[in-house]
Amino acid sequence: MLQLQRLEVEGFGPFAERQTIALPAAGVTVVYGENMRGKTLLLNAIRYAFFGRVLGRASRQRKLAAISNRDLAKEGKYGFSVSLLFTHDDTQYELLRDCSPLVETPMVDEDYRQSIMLKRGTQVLGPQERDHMLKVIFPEEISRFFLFDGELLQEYEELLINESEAGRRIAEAIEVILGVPALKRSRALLTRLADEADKLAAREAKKSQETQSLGNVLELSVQQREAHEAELRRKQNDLADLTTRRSEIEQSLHVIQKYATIIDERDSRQARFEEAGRETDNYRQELQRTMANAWRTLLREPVRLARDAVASEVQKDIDTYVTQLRGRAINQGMCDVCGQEVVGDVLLALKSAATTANSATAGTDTSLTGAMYRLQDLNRFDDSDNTGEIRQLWKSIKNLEIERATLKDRISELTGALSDSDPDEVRRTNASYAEVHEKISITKRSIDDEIKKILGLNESIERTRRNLEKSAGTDLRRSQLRARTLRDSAEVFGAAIERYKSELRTKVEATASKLFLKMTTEKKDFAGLTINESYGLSIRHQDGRAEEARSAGAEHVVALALMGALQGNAPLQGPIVMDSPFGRLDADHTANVIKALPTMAEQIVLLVYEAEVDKTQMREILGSSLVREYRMEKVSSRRTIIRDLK
Amino acid sequence: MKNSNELLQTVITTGKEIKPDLDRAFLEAVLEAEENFPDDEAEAERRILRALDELFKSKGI
Repeated sequence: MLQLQRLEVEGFGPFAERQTIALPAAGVTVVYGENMRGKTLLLNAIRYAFFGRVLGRASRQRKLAAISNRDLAKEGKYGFSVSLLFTHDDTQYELLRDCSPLVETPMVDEDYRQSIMLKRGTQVLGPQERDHMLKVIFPEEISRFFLFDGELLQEYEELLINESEAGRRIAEAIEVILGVPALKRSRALLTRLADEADKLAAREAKKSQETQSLGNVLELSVQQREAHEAELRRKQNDLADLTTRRSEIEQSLHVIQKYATIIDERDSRQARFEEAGRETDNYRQELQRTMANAWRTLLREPVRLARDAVASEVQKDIDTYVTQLRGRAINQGMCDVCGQEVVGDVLLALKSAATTANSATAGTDTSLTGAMYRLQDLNRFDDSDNTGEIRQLWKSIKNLEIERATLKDRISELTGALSDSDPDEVRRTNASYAEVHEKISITKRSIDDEIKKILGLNESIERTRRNLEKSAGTDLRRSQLRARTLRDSAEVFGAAIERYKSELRTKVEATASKLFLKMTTEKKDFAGLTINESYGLSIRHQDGRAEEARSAGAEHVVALALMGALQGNAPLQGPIVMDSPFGRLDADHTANVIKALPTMAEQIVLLVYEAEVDKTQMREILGSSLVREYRMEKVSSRRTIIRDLK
Repeated sequence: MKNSNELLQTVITTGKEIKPDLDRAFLEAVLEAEENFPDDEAEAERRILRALDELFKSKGI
């Protein structure tokens, strides 16, 4: 088992001065650090020590020249080193990897020299033994299960997709950690040795006249089988390459599909932009028309006052006129309007009305016609209030302007995203996909043919061998026995592969289920996890059905359960180093995961920022499992120190 | 990181079931050769053949 003891970094990323982290063998060590302080680089320091590589976002390899501390570079000091003290199966090792400049001002990786030293105890190992031991101690293809970056979580979803290239790679890596390649390689070794033993047996058979022809048949059959096995391996490699190529094309198609989606969105936004422009113009014209009459609103009140005054004047004139008519009617004894005689009661009534009116209208001069015309003009004045309409039109225009500004920005963004696209790419990529798909079908068929031929030859070889046994001498019998032992052993290892994988899947499923149920907050709804052939885990409901769609948070918890299960069941065991592992989790899930951590591996190192998990909470939940705490502190934007919080 | 005994147990159990005449020690030697020399096939093969010779010698073959 691998156990880290001490990590030292100098000149590495923000760690200008030498920084040391002691790592207790058992328990959880937590390193707190805000963003840009160097948490991911600390994980990368371990990766760099073992593999000479630093990975950035999306697992892209970073240039080593960019890792050298910038502050020191300003002082003319370039280069960095990482030292790792660890034990493996109770033997202590010290690993030192150093990157030093070859020129005064190194700019690219080629301007640096990398050196590596591995000590076992006090003995410095030679290059071959060093490289061999590093592969045995910590194979790079399985590092993803020990150096855990939250960004890699979504890769585990690939395990659920059959024939996914990324899924196949991860499944292969899982099989490495579970020890399966040891069985596969053993089978391959034994098969090759068995072939050699068969050839030796054929040569022995040819020495004797009695068995010569059988020897010739055996030799020829073995040679033919070797040739077909070589051809089979070649075609299997071709198939792997074609599958990788198909996967790359599928990714391109996915990107192109993304471009198609971008184009659709851009076109629809462009159409809306133009439509909004037309609407704006319409509103502006409407506003212009409405504003043309807006002055009426200003005159509304004065006109009303004038109208009231004129109406009052008109009324007075009308009263005066009526008084005059009455007066004439009284004097003439006849009405000027209807021509009737004015006598008796009517005369009396008129005289009474005339007396009252005379006092009110005395001295009033009538200009009725003029006043009525003025009143008529004033009544014709359209005093409708259109301020509400004007306000509404302004608001509509403003909203459209805001919408157009937003659309314009978005269109510009989308156009930028399309700047690398090639309109013909879809057509070309589709053609490539069809071609590769066809080649895969052909290659698979020819692989099946080769397998049939090999099986046929195996039967022929077996028949020849049985015939040889009947008349074989001592040496030939011995050769045949060797060949049989080797071939039988190869068969055992072949059968053991499938058995081992099946047993492991069952164990991984059981362990992962237990861990998942510890970490999830939906314990009543979920029964556990179900594993597929590629080690993909799906969530199983109490009703037995699989959870169809998974949130990023659920994905996170399942991936952590898988990691813990692999650690619990793998022959290969070591520490888990996690960088920001709680990013997608809510508070309850985070607390559950922290609680479960000590059961996942003997040695855990967490690189977290305090907003992810509060220190007090961490201490409370982990209790005595929390063995060491550090904090990354900012000296400047390019310098970080690591403080021991003991 | 060394492999555990589980791999060996699986091989032994499978051997008992399908090829009971096969010697357990030889199967163990094959796995050990592979684990100790995962990158050196020639050396692993030599170890396996040596184990085979020892097996035959022990049986008087």
